[in-house]
Amino acid sequence: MSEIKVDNLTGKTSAGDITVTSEGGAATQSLQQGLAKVWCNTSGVGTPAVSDSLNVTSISDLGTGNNRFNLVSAMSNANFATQGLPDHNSQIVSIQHVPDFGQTTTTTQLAVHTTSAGIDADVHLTIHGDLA
Amino acid sequence: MSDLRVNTISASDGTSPVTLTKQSAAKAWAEIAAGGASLPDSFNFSSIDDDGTGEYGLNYISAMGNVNYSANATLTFGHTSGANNIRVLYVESKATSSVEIDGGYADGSAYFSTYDIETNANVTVHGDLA
Repeated sequence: MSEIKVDNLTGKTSAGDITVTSEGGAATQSLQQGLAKVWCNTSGVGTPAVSDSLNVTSISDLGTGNNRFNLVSAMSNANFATQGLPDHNSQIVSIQHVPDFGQTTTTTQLAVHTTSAGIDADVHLTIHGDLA
Repeated sequence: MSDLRVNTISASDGTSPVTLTKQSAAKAWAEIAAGGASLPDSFNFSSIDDDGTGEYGLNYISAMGNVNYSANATLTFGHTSGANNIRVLYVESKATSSVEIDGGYADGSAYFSTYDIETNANVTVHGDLA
């Protein structure tokens, strides 16, 4: 087994594009495109805080169950894929990616709801897309 | 600091996939436009099929190696109060060449009642490519 130990990987032809071979060997795919650009686990129901994260600088509390995540490094456009999952086990809830303030290159927003109102819950966030 | 500049990384046999130590890259992701009209941005999806209200078929460019992959989806929805707030997305079916995501809302008893997802949604897929 060979192993390269290196601090940085940069595309030779295009700095932001390194191709890797698929598990089955039938295809190749961009390494950068597949990497999560943001993930975050929140804690502190009622006063949301970053428990652990990648590329999240802070959380803005927009109301009960409604949180905006502020990013460290900006995305290249606002068409990235935001995913969220709540920590909640006492009643049926849903989590929604909320566009009230518009998904921007530096922010995204998740809201947790019951059938009638927002509810505070820790959430898990991931973002895939293109960094600036 | 060392810096390796390269176009393609593969295992030492020249064809097998390289191991990312204790990490795995997503094999597909997409933002789905309202009503399933288009994919404003995506990775490894060639197209979207409008299979009916709230039913989206997403077709891969490079096929998955099997159907035991993980697909996750979150909808974009602006309501923060009022009725019908329980909006859900779920995976209806998976194939190596496509995945179907369905969306709708629950009634006041939290039963899934109606296919209806006319807002944006996001999908990510992790697993093995063919």
